[in-house]
Amino acid sequence: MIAQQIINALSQGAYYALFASGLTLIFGVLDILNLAHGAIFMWGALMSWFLMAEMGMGFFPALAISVVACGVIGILLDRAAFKPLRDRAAGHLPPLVSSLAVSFILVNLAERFFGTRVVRFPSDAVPFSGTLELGDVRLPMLQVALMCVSVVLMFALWYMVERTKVGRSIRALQENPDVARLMGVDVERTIAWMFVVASALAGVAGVFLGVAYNSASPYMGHWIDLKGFAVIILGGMGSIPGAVLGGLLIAFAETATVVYLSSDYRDAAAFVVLMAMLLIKPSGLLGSSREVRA
Amino acid sequence: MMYNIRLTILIPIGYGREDKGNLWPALDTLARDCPERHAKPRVFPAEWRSSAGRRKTREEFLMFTKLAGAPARLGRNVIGLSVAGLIAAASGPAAAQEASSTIETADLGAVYALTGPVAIYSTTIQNALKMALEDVNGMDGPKLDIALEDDRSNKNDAINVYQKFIQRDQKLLIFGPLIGSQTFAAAPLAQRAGVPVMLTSVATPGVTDIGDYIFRTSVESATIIPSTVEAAVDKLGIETVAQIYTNDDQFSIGEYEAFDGALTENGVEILGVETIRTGDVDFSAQLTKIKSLDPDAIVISSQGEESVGLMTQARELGIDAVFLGGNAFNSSGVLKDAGEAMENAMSATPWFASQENEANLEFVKRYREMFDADPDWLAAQTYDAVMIVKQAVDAAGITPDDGVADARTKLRDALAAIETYDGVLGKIEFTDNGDPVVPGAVLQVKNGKHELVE
Repeated sequence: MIAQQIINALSQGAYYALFASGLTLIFGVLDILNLAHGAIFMWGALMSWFLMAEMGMGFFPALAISVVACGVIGILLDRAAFKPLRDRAAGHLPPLVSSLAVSFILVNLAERFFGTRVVRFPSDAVPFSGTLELGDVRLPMLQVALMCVSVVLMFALWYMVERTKVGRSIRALQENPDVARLMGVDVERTIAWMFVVASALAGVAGVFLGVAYNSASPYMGHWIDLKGFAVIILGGMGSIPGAVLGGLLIAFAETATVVYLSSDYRDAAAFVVLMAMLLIKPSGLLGSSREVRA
Repeated sequence: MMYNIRLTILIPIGYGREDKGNLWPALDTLARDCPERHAKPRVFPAEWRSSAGRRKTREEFLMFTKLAGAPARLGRNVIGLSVAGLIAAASGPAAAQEASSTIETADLGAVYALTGPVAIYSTTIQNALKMALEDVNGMDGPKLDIALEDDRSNKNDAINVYQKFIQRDQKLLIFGPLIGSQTFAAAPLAQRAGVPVMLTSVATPGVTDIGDYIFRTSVESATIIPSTVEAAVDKLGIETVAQIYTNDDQFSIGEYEAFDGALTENGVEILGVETIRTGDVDFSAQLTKIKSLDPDAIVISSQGEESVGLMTQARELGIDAVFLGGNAFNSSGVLKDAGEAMENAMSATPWFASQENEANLEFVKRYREMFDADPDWLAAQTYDAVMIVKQAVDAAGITPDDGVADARTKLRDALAAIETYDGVLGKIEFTDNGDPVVPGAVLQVKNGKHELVE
């Protein structure tokens, strides 16, 4: 039973990590919380549902189209909610509010396009439908696939940030936007890339979560937004390995609460861990002290 | 004494232009004198011929207000101003004395979750409302008009719609909302304002305790849940169970408590209790824990979407225990979405499609013809509710001269006087509290279909 619970926590942690890494990427550079991240995640899930259930596509084409579309939504989000404010140097609060506005718009549009019911994916469209049985432990292949995808994507993301030109620009922006601009970094282009990558990651998480739990609705972004914030604060704002670690820790804290305490306190667990972290090390597990002021 | 009077003030049109300075302040004063905030003058064209261009003072305006309820043919070229609201009337009930015939149409409101997480239930309710209205308005007596609004499955919107119905739209009665937690938030407003409420879907205990204006045709789960447990023990030989329920939803908590009592009473051992929250999608941790307890059955007290998730994920984890559930299990949407995972699941229902009372046979037949789908228990409860309201409207004898407050009281009294009703649900007996008691039945899922457990 413990082995099964560890598997449960790992797969839950993989979702949190995938979702939170995009959030932390944007926070690291722009110092703002993107409240529309959960809405993009939701669009990923619903769009893939639409392509599979209504258009009769297979899982992989649907995944690809949804993820690309989420990337595009990401650019639009930046252009609509963040860039105008950035140009005016509007500070931290206005972008937060305008991203909240975009999230409402995205939810309402989703209600309009996809309806408000919780939708179910067609069973024949979903790959990896088998279940691995190792003794008493059951491991749905879909969860295995997600964990593999998460590991690969996290590594790719880390590689992008640490080893590529775009990544260097991102880190330069993180360090000091003004100096980066003076040094010839194309700030707008870099930020646009960042939104594409972050939103595409949210899209991947959305598609996999929708398929794995066979449920998607316009409201699915709400709860994961909150968890996502907890994850990036715990892991250290702006740190990608921190998002992975934070995601896993919160998933394990939640599962442990159900196992050893009571499922009544499951949601509280994440936030108790978070509070404890803020008291002991306010910058988060892997955060640099620069983020303390946030 | 306070009277709720709708005033219509008529002013010659030639007056408006040059004498605006005089006219509008007078109206503002009038509006201020109305204690209700929403009493704002409204301009609309009316038919009235008079000596245009005469100067009017505030006193004359107030004199006009006495013309309220005297819609004589007055001519053309006139702007009318209507002020609606509560006016403190110093003299006796002058207007109400000319009681004549009953009203032609009773304006009613309905608020349900047409969108949002619990909207899964509202399709059949909407259908039943439509069908019942068609039937009712073919009968003699006052017609019913039901304005249907969406509360997006949340409490705040339910409250907003209630306020709109109570104050602005002056509805005589409100149907809905859909679930208990919304009702506990919104219905006290109606109780305070003296507006009767008819609930057609709320199975949560205690909603009728909100007050004597709250009625329902929805059967409380607690009254039928014991029969589920008895059938499970008799037919399936269940000895041990694990319970799982949504702990932030009043309805689910009510069902959980009813199950808890019935299980103990029938000597079933409860191995463990787990909780989930509304909107959760991952139940693996709780279900894994339940799996290790190895119960004969899992009792689920949840709304539809979570029930579907729980059942499918339990099967994925290799749990083969049978499921026992509450109202959510009766929904055809849940049955379809849960698919094979729900096989053999048992639940009690206040109503089932193959019930053989005459009203039900007719109802099921017509429903299938109209909507090309099967009705569920919510449709049956809603249909009966509209019929009962119609009966009450007929009996109440509301006249056009009744103020809206009087009309609402008359309607409430007429509703309270109905003790039994023979309808689609069968023979309903109402308790003093306004709760319905019906025979009910236990259903079991066999080959993806609900079947009656004899």
